[in-house]
Amino acid sequence: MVIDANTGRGLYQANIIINKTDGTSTDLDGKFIFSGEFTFPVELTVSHIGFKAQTKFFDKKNIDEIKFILKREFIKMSELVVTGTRTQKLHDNVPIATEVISQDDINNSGAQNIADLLSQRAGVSLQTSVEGGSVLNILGMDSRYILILMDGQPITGRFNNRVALDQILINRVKKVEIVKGPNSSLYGSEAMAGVVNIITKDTDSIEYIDVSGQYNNTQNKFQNTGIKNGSQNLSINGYKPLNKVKIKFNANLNQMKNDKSIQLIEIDKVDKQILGGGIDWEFNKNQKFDLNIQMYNQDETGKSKLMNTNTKILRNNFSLSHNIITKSNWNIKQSMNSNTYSRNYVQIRPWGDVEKDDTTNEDYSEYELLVNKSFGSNEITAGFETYNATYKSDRILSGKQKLKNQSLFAQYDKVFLNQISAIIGLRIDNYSEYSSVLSPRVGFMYRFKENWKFRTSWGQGFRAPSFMERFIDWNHVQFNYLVQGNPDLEPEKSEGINIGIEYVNTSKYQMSLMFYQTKFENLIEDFAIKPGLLSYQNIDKATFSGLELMCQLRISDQLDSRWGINWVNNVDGQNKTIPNTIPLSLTGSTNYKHPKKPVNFSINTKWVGSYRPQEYDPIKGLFVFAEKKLAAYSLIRLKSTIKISDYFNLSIGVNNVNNYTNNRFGPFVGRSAYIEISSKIKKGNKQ
Amino acid sequence: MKKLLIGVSMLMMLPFIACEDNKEDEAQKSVNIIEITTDNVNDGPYYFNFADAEKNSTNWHLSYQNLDAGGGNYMPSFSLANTVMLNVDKSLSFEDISEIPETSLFAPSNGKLGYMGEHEVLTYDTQVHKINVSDSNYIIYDTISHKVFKIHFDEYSSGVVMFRFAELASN
Repeated sequence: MVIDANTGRGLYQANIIINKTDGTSTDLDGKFIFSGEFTFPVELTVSHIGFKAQTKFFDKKNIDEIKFILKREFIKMSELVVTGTRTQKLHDNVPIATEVISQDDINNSGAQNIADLLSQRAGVSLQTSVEGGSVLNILGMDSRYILILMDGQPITGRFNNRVALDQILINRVKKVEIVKGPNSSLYGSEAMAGVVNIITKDTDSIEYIDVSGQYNNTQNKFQNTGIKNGSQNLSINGYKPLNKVKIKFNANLNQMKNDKSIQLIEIDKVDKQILGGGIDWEFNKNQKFDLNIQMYNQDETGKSKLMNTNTKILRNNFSLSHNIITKSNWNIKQSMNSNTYSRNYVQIRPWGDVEKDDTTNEDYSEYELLVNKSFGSNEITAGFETYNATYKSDRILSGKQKLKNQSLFAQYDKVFLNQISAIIGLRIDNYSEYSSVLSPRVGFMYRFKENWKFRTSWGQGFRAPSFMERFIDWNHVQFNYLVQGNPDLEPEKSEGINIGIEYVNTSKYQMSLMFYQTKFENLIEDFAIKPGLLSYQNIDKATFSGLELMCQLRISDQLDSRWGINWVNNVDGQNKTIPNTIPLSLTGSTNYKHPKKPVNFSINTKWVGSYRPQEYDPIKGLFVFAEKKLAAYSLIRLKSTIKISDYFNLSIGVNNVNNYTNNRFGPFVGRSAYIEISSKIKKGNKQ
Repeated sequence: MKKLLIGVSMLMMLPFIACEDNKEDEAQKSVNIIEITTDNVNDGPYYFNFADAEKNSTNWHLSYQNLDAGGGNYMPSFSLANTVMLNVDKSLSFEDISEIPETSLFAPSNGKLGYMGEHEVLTYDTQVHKINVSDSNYIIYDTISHKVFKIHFDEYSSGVVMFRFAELASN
């Protein structure tokens, strides 16, 4: 039996590994059964997310009295992470440094969407694009250099070359994994400076239904119109196991009306609807199928005396994967993904003249084969990917463009003496449009003095020029200039190194310090061919460097704290600072749980150091430094959650408590308050 | 009792006092404010005559056209005729301006309303690449007709501007 040391109750779904080969898991009461022929003593290792793993040996005398009492970990190093290696590995053992934004962090953040969540991190800033959506800047790098994945798959809808992260609502997100540095050896283009993997898959396989409703008011006051203004969100997620089939579904409705966050871009109302579902089918012990469908719809409307605008975004994602474990223990996964995206933007004068009616369609279909096998302390992973992407837009030459890609990748991972872990990988991408690209990576981890880890990795990355950069043909109506793509652009290349050290005491604290440096070649930047005509070109080199210190500390059973400091130095080939680089930022969060009452209180802070912002000079076609430095500022968020019954939680929060805004450089939205009621009803136990 | 009666009487008088104020406000606001929507600047220059309250490309007070802002980039810009003097008010709301400023407060308007001018009407937000409209009130004095007008620019959208104006009468 496996017992939770805190509650004294049986622990559901603990993993039991017998003699490092066979495995089973516990039932709802924490009990497990295994049978077979064993040589004694039998080695049993029990692990569970959020608990410290235990290994014990049993002989014939005590084999009938197996009992494990697992203690909760403050630092959850026993959870599985996938992004750094594309295979599931314990966070504690992964040789590639991976930052995890856990479910607790998400719950305490008060964020509504992924853009909002990531912008709370040190070294991350967010800008609202005048054409809609949020442009994320991670470690001074535009988000087009960071590959954004959802459950390991790329997201379509790269409007303006970037994924709109405000379209990914937080309710269904279980955790976010962030891997910094070039990762093209595994993921190909766009992963040249890092990967953000948004994981929605639930590790629970118990029946549950989860409902939450949130009202957010960014107007600082309740207006006469009551709750009609501000944003409202309703989400429902559920999971229902039926023998070997598990059914999952999700629905999300989000509406923003006269909300400050959209008024800036002259939009009055945004409606977002998400509907999805899927089936996990365990065909037999060694084969599984996983089908997922997600549909996203967004409507934006804006009205003024001179212009009415309407934007409609539709996105459909379909994925089917098949997992098989062969008799010789090869783990083979093949998956098909098909994504479609369309965006229609219409500008109509109130007197009926249509000023603009442009449509963008993006189709992406991919087949992927991934094989993996462990041989003792060795692990091999290899894969093949092929995709077709079609991009059709009124803004690009000839209206429609296609891109095909085939890639092969392989990775070898070895652990020496339980202390040293090394990984080596290589990927070759072959594009229909330009020559093949090779992307290698090497990673190394050395564990010493039990709690210390040293990690380093080196890799090369690349980013293929986007359709927009190659084929755009667009007249900027407002400023009367033309933007023309450059079909001869070469892929951007990067070479990066990370060096880090980490100390972990899973029951009390964790500290990590990481230095990273990524050098870019052939960076794509816009430039003026001649007055009034802009285009893109591959330019000189740039070097992005940074130092990141992150800590987690359990002060007592009730109080814990997390904080991070990020220093960034991003310069171009002439040693000039790259636009949007924020040299120093600090983030911190403190959570307090009342010892007796079901109340939780969180404070999240972010401090951004003084810096001199850069502005685009439309005449020179260059970014130039603003005359004055922007003073340092801080943002504070408060959230309190109260368990009001066995099934319901009530949360109240205030974002940007100190009401700091800057209409030129952001943040644009001042103090706002929200209230949320949520419920998660699980079969067998209460919330 | 006497104090109570006085108190009640004063309370009853309040609405009348308030109404009196409102009448004064209404008198101030009864200035005939005209709302104008320009043509799209990308279709060609736009000229306006305030005295006639209509487009007039020969006898105009205000022009709106794409001007070379340097480097061959054209920015939508406003400018006033040479015969027009300018005063800019940032303290009052447009509706509350009812008096003509002293003559000494008017100055030549050369280039002040255009792109990068001292009182530019349309400003280019370099962060979000968007054209915004100044919130200032512009009071102009036509040295030929000796008429004074107050102007406020309300909105810019893809080449078209909406503005309001009214003639200020001398007391």
